[in-house]
Amino acid sequence: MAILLAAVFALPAFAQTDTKKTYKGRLEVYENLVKDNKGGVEGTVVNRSGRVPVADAMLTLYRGETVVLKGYSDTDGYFLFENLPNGIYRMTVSAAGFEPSVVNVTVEGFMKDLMFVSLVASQTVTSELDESNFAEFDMIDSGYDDSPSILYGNDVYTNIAGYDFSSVRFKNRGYNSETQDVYLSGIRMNDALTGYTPWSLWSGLNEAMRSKETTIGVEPSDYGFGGYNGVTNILATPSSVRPGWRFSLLTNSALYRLRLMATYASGQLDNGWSYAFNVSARLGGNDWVQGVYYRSFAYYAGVEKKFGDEHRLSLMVFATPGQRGAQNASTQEVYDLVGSNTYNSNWGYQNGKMRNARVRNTHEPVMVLKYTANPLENLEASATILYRTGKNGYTALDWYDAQDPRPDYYRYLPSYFYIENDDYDRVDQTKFGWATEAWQYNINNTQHINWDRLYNINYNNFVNGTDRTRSKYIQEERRTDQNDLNFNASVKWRASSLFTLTGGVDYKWNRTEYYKRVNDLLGGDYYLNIDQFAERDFASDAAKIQNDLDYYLANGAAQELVKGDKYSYDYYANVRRANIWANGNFSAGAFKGYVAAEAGYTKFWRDGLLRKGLFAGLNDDGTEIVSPVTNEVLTSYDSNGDVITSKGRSKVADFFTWSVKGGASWFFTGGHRVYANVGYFNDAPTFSQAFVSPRTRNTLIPNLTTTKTFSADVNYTYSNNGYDIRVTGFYTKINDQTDVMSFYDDSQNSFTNFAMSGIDQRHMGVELGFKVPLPLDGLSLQGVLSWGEYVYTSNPRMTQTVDNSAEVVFDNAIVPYWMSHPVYAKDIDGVYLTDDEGNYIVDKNQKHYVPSTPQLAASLGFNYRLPTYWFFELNANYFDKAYLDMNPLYRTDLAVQGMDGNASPVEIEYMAAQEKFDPVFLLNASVGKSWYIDRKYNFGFSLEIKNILNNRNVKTGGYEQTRLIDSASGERYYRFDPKYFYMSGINYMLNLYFRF
Amino acid sequence: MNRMIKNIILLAGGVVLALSAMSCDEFPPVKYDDPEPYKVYTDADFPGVTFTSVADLKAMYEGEPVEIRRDVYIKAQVNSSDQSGNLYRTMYVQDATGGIEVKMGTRNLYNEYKFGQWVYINCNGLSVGDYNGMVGLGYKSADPKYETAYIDSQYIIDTHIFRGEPGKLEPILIDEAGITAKDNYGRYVTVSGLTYGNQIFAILYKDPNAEHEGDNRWFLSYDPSYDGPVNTYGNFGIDTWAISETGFQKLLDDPDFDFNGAIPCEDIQSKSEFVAPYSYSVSQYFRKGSTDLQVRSSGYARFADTRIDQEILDGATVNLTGILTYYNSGSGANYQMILNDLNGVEIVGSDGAGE
Repeated sequence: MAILLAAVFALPAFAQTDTKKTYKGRLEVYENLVKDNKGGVEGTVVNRSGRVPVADAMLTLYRGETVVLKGYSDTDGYFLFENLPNGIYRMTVSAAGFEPSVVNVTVEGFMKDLMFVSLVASQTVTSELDESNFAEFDMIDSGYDDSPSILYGNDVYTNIAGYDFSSVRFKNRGYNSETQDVYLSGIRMNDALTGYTPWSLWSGLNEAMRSKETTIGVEPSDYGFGGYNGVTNILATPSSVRPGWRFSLLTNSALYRLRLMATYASGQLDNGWSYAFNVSARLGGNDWVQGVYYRSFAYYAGVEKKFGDEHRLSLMVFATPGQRGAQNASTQEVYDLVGSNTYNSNWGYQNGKMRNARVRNTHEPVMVLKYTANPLENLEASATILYRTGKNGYTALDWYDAQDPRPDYYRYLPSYFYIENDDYDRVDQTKFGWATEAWQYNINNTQHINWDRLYNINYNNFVNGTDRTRSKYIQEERRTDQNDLNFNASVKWRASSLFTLTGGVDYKWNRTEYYKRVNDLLGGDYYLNIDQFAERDFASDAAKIQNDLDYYLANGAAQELVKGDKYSYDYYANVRRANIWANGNFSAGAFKGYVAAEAGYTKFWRDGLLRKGLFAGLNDDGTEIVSPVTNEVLTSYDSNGDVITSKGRSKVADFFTWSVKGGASWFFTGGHRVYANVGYFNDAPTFSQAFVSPRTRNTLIPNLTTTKTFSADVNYTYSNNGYDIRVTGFYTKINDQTDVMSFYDDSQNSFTNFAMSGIDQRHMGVELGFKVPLPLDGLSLQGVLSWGEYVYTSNPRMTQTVDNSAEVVFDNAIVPYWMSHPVYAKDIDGVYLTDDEGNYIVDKNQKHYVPSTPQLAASLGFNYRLPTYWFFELNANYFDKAYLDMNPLYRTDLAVQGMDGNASPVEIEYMAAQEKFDPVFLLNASVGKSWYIDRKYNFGFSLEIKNILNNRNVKTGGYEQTRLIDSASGERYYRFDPKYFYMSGINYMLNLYFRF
Repeated sequence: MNRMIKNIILLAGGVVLALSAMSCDEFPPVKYDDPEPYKVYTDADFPGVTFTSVADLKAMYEGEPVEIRRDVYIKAQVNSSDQSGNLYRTMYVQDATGGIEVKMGTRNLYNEYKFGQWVYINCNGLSVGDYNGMVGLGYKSADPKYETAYIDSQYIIDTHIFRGEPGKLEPILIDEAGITAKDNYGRYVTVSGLTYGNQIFAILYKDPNAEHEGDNRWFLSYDPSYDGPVNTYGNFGIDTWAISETGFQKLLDDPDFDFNGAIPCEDIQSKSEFVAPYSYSVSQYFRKGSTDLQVRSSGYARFADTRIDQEILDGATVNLTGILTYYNSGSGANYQMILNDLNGVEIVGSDGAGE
């Protein structure tokens, strides 16, 4: 902070004092200009949708057919052409990712200020892209993550890939969502606990959040140092919202039925005020996935005041309250039985109404106060405070000593009774027939949650001769309630035409409460706050099974819970994080370069609010806790002799981090540019990756360290005469990642946790984006290609724990088949070959890939744009090399060797293998038109048809179940079937808007 | 132009209304009404049906499993409960003529089939078969090791077993002869005047994850033919109703525990030969006159590690209430009792004076 203040006050002394804007762009002059003529033209190239400056736009000035001058806008979008002879000029403006534009200028002996020259992004449909393009995949109990990343940018590649590839949940360069830095008004918004980009905080506020500035890959931004996966800053200030009224109506068949939106922005008024609001509602279900629905609303209000020329203060508040029903994954067996790959097991009928058991229920308001100052023409400074609070809930069924209520639970499926391979020991074909019939014809609603049954069991569970009923099934709500306070300050100092310095500090304070509450007792009177699995194991000691031992000790019985009560677990996650960064930009003629560095400190700890009987810890006076039931000591210790405790503060994990990056760029005559970036990053692990079982205890995972990443890219772009091309090659090595998978294990009636450390990955590949004008005016051919290899390069270590047991199943054990598995040589008859000593011969090592994104993605399409404001687009997409998420269990010796402890080639190749998805071909089309009425009203529509070929076999994700099946032979294990998510078949989106 | 704007607004308004109507239907209500209670079946739901007695159903067994291929209805009361975990995936029902096991296959049956509740079972498509001397009702077995299989499939259960009215059920008081009477197998009974036999039967496994056969097994049993000190081991120090996994771990961890001195012996030299804990069912012997009644409890029962009352161990007279079963081990008849829970154990007096 002190450094920042020093910078703010000290820099002006060195700063230039003239107030005239300086132009730092490059000029290529073709004609001798008139030295003494005062005539000229200046202006700022901006993005039409958000008045965001467009740097490096190429401006070509013609007189007649002669090129007089060629120049480029500078980093602020500004351009200045002086000493022009009087006359009429035609100026073409083109920039990567935008439609070219033409402006006529008359020079009459003075500097003509065009103010803004606005460009339209070349992909108009992208305007409706937001987080809500992704259905809520229900993976919370699976142990896997679902955090889609959205590729934004004003670049020929990102424009097309960002939109066309989102349908298969493409992750650019294979990177995780948390590597993508998303800023809002200059504050880094990535979740403090998981690192994910929290799109849902503002989804549905497309208009207010439309203005964005983005960088790609390693490039830094003016807002922060960034990582290796780009920086997106959403301006979100009222003055950045497009002025006027706008109403829109959107309907689509793949996610929600209806979106209504209204926006108003004043623009900057003469008195220096600007204000804006944006509200929307997203409602209804869709044609493909039953039970998924939206009841989501969104509001944004902002006000801004400019004081003089130097100061600007803005205040914004926004949130997206509402509910969303989630979609669950099922096995292929279930999809085939039901006859649909978009079957959703999360819902059932209750009194004839569809009810989804898994509902996301949120209201997380965000408040932003931003101050910017331009004390000098070449100095900008800003300070921002952002506070996020509210609730984030996710409902699920919870049950006690009762049958699993999920309709697609494996014991209810035909395959539980019969599998062709005898070694599974599932031999009953008749029962297979019964179960198949029940599923196929949905007899007694076999396909869905049987709410009637859950209620009836609760109705009838009277407690020992009373008329009170204890619920066996309830709907719980898992809450993640954040309090997140952020402060950021940054400066940008244009020291000279050669050097610009940006830098800043930021600080994050986060305290998040994780807990469960009773959301619905489903017809019963109460639920009991005990750990049911522990009860099975420790039935003789009532103290050990308590979720809240302190309550039990005080009251002599477990707490009886009613709707709204917290239960099971309750703890704070505390995160503190501070960073300081600086970026020096050099610019000399056709050369640009930068060097940037960042240093940071992160610490976090857990603070348990409940004392769990299994992990009782110590009394406040440091003595051991004794069970009043058995008089046995409840306090337990880990293998290091440390007390395992659920209540109170954990050890603080803290990390010093530093990162550096640099880059250089050369512009060549004719619109060519070559640039390269390189960076080395140290990132602290997140809270969510750091505890072995955060719901139950304070234990940190072993070997916790920073993630080290090296990343470099080389790029070439060409932008001229409507041609727009980018080619990039990238290489990234990520080392020492940690991850915690936490999944519901029905055999334990509890969550099981796999904490992994030492995960290394390597990502390399090429990107190509191009747009080429075709002979017909307005018609262009465009395409993108992303082709990479993203692989695991280490065998991590794993610690497995179960929430309701002190036992450590795997203790920091290596996962030997994680990064690859051997494939053995066979003869023509399929018999494995051995060498002279009888050992099997390894043919090759099959690599394992970073999952959940196609590693080869391509799009090719036509774009036709008429002066009458019609546009047509047709494109074909191809995706390949997508892989299923792996679980570590299947890559352990235990799983591969089977019950006999002997790993045969068959077992290795079966158990350790990773599933590769089939390649996908998709065809999409869109059409749109807008009308201007009286030059005041603007009415338009866009219609998209996606997946025209109605391909219903496109896997967009999924996961392996983390369970094993014993073989009848006793020699090996089999896997449980994996679960998948599929893409919707043919679907449409129609957007109508009206603006004035 | 104004008319055009008006038309546009009207059109857009119309679309909004139409879509709203659709989506309102699709986004579910915040509140859901509680569903209706289950249908309670009565005799009126089975018009014209002559109910077969449980005894007659059991008599359909012909020395080999029989799949019933005609409508045979029984009406009986549930006499078991798996709430304590002593029964797993199965329940017993009885009528005035006798009791029978119904191999349901699903878990936590007590949630839907309450003790004393009447059930109607259409046996058409189900099978009767024998398990070591007891005839039970289940599904045709695909595994030759068993005569009947668990029914398992919810669809079969829903189409064959119908819940009736709740009811009360009193145990049948039986005497020593009643313990060995075949008609009583599967019935809910009270045997009075029993005393603790200080004898158990259990099979332990040195490596529970390996095959449960051969030398991996260690029998904790009284063997009259064995000419050694085995008789002196009594209950082998096992004074709980059964042994859970954690209970067994405690026995392994207790340096003083040596199965009443049974270790070392020919079969096992040291407790360290147990590579992992496991939960074990235990038959605790009780005596009525000259007849043994084994109270067989599962290691998964919630009361598995509950110590048998000291008074009982010291010889107090007890009345035991539970389901009477029979097990022919090949070497002889075993009369067993399954406790629904420990409420089935009643101490009536000390030193045999209570009867």
